[in-house]
Amino acid sequence: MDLFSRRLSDELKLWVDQGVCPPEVMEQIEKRLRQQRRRAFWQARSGHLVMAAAAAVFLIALAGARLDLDPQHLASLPLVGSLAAQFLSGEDDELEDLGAKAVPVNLAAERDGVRLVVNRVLTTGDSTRVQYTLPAGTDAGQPELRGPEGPVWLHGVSSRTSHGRLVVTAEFDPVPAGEEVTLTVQGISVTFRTE
Amino acid sequence: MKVHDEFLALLRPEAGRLYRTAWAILGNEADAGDALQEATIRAYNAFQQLKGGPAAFPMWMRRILVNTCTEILRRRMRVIPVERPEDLTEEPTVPGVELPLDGDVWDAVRALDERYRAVVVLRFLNDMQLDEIATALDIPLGTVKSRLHTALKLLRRHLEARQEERRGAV
Repeated sequence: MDLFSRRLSDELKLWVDQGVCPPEVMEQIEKRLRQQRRRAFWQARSGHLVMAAAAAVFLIALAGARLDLDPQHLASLPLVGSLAAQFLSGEDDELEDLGAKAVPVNLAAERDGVRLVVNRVLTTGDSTRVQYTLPAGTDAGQPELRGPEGPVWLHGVSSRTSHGRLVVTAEFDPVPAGEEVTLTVQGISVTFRTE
Repeated sequence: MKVHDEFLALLRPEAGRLYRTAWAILGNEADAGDALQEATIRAYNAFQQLKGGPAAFPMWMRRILVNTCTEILRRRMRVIPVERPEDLTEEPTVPGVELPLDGDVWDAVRALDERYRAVVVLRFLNDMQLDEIATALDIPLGTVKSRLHTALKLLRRHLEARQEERRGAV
């Protein structure tokens, strides 16, 4: 660096060292910092709330599983009950794989200690799918669906065990939306409307 | 609360220097104020990452500010036409060192076109190397050399003229 450049550098640095930040700029900076602090505070709090809610859902679902509660009973609990019920019932979104929204039914019937819960129904142009649960170890059986026109043709059944329950998806011929249908499994019947 | 107060206690004594640094790089006070605010928020959010304690704060804060300012310059310079190629030298030097480097220097630097002012300020105020300036402004190294060379010539001319004016006045 030659002498000119060195002196240029010194002069610029001296000019900067003599600087004063205008009060209005400093005021604006302090205001923004206060906003930032508040934002950080609430972000931290909301993070804690989410964690607490997740823990509550888990604990309620765990308690429900231990006490062998029905997911529908859990769902009636305020705030996190419905999430806990979904967690406990093990309902995943397998009916939503088709690209349409499955409609919750959540109707139940019981006979001889066997409880049948119809969880969801989904109708597309090709089929009507019904998801229901039975106690684990129960035979999924041959579900029957009856509509106003009589029995609906069964295409097939798939099942899996989740959270101590047998989750069954039965696929039938399509039933028009709004029709009242009755699903019968193991002699237990639940009547609901297709959507 | 503690972090907020600690940050402000470190910022306040530096605010004047930081403000003028931003002003020097960006060329006007309005942009300097905005850039300082932006840099302050960035620094505040990253304050836990400051290593070296309070003694390291001024340099750390200054680096964040310079980065913020060069980002603004990069955005601005995209719309500035490319200057014609200048005579390139490895280390630009200006002959004739007997110049009246006094309070007029900032006025002379400020009068430069933004392309020239930015490289002068980054080089001589912030002591950045030419390749660092090239990276910061996202321009080729040759362009940095060219701009610096031209800027020094313009500064010299400006300051000589000021000196002549003063001689004439006396």
